Amino acid sequence: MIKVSQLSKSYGRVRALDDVSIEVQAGEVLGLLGANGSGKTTLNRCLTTLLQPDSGTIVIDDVDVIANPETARGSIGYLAEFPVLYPSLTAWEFLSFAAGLRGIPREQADQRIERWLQLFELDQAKTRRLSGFSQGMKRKVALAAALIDEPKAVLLDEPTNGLDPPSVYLFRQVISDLRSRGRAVLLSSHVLPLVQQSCDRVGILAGGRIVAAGSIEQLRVAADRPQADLEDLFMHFAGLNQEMIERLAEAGLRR
Amino acid sequence: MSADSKPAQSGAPEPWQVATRLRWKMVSGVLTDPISLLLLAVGAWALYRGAASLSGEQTAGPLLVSLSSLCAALVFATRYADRLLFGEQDDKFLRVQALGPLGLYRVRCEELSWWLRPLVLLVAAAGLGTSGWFLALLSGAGVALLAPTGIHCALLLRSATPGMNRILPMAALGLAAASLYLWADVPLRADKWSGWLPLLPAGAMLTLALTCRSLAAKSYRHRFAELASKAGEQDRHEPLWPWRVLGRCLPLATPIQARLTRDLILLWRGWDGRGATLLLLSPLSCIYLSDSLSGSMREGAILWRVLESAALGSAAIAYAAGPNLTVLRSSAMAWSRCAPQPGRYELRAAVLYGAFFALVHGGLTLLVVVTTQEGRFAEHLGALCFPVLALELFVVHFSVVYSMAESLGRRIAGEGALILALAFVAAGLAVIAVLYPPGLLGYLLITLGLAARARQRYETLEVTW
Repeated sequence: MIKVSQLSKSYGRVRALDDVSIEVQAGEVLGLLGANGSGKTTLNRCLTTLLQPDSGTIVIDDVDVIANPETARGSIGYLAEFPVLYPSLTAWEFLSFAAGLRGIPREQADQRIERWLQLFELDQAKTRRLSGFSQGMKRKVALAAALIDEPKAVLLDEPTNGLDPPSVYLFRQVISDLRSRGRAVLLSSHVLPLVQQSCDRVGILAGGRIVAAGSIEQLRVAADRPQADLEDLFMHFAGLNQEMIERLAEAGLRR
Repeated sequence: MSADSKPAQSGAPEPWQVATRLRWKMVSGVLTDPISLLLLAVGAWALYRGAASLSGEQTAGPLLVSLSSLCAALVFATRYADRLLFGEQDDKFLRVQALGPLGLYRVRCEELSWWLRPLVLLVAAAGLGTSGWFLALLSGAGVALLAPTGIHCALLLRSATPGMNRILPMAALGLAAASLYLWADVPLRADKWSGWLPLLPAGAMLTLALTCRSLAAKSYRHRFAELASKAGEQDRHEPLWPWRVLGRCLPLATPIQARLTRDLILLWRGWDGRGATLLLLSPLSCIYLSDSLSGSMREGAILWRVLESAALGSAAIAYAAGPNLTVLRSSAMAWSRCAPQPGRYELRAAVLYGAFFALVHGGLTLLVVVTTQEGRFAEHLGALCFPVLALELFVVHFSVVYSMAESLGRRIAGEGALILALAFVAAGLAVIAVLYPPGLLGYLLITLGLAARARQRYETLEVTW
């Protein structure tokens, strides 16, 4: 469903993505782990056509995204890390706007909006302006907007930022539902328990390169650490362990 | 050092002064923006001309112009003070800092006085057009000192009329505008005092401003904490019907309808202050037109004058629909860029948005032609309709297309170039309209390439925000 091959993208001299290749099948959730600045958001933006890669190919639902962005956009739902919502619109208005952008007929859009608002317990707040919403409520509205068209490929960038534990649980159920309905989900997150519980496979991005990819079991084998948890594996593959120990020692926080 | 803030180290600025400097860094960017300054200059000129044309000798015009402009300044100061005290994003951050009991008041008072500076110029321009330099200086001084009055009025309105603090100032403004419209021509008895009448509101405003300097601080001490707490509890709900009604009234493709509805609702809710100002200023061109039409004019001269007025008004609308809308939309651009055919729909929605206001303005311009000097020019209406409406629509179209093609992602340089291009296009269209009106249709052919570039630019711009 989502196939990225040898993708590279630079901002001036900074190489944000370097020869990245990943694949997400229909009905699969791939977790993308990476430290800040490792290239997760750049990869998501290339997939959503917001950025144009320097080289490589992206195919989503058998459509070449770089050659046919128009056709590809219809299959993609994207929740950005910091989604910008119009503060003067209400939740209901913003979702109507998002549905309208995708050409969903009004009656159908109304039904879907009500369903999402109820699911996220926002139906009482649907006529409130978004400026008065908490961070978590805004995130729920943004997720509903990203999924309103029931896209085949779903890209979620840090979806649980600012959410309370019940909402995180709810988000996990939504991701699980997407998987069961045959959607391909690329989930970028720092929250390791979320990735561990929600994802079928994990890709680790470091310095713009995919340094490891596979199920957690496969990663344990590759790292030769049969007992390691996801945090250990991430630190191991991202090369952060040794680096961090040295930094802590320098700062006098570890002997 | 004041008694109400934490003692500052020797030579170090007090906390409220640090906060004020920080705010100035944010506000100065907006106030010294070259485009805002240009709009201010145009607005001042339009007010000067408008005030002069409404201030007939021995009529109530000068008094009412002076009264209305000062009323508008007071309403602005009150509404903006309310926003600064209760609606700013950094409010929660500043309120928990050790600025002292009056620290936040000082910060907001300073900030309001900066926002009043453009208004000082506008009110002075109206005063100059009404009765000369003395009124201009007196009115300007009154407005320059209006910040504490604005804060005092905002606090009074919030505590005395909960829920009505938005409606009452607007009602006062509407009343002033209606009185100006209805009674500006009413003759006044000629005596030696009549020339001084316009100075009365300005003098009263200055006295009020000076009186409120101490009252505002007291009012803030007594009322602010309670009112701010209440404001935090308020839950602002909006009705669903505007979106539904607009959706039904606009028989367009769903993606265009959604964009257009969003733009109109955001405009109505005050999200686009600059665009709203431009749209409200655009009918001033009709005052210019009604002043400049004279019975001795030949047909060609009448056409030229009407087109001049149409070009002036539509340029303001074009700016609101072109670069202004492009900049506003760009903050949440990721949503529409990820949707199918974003360039095409975005362009069409923006053109339709501008075209709506351009047609209203075109209609107003033609109405002025029909009604000026008791219908003396009505016979020219048939010949004027096509060139006026075509000019209005094409100026707006050009602005939207050019903004998307050239100024998307590079604001100031793009907007500066647009002003020159817009003047050139408007003049060119007016010349063609005078010489050979059907030739105006050629404009659409010439700009086909630019429109394609606009769509492509929108769809390929790298969105990194």
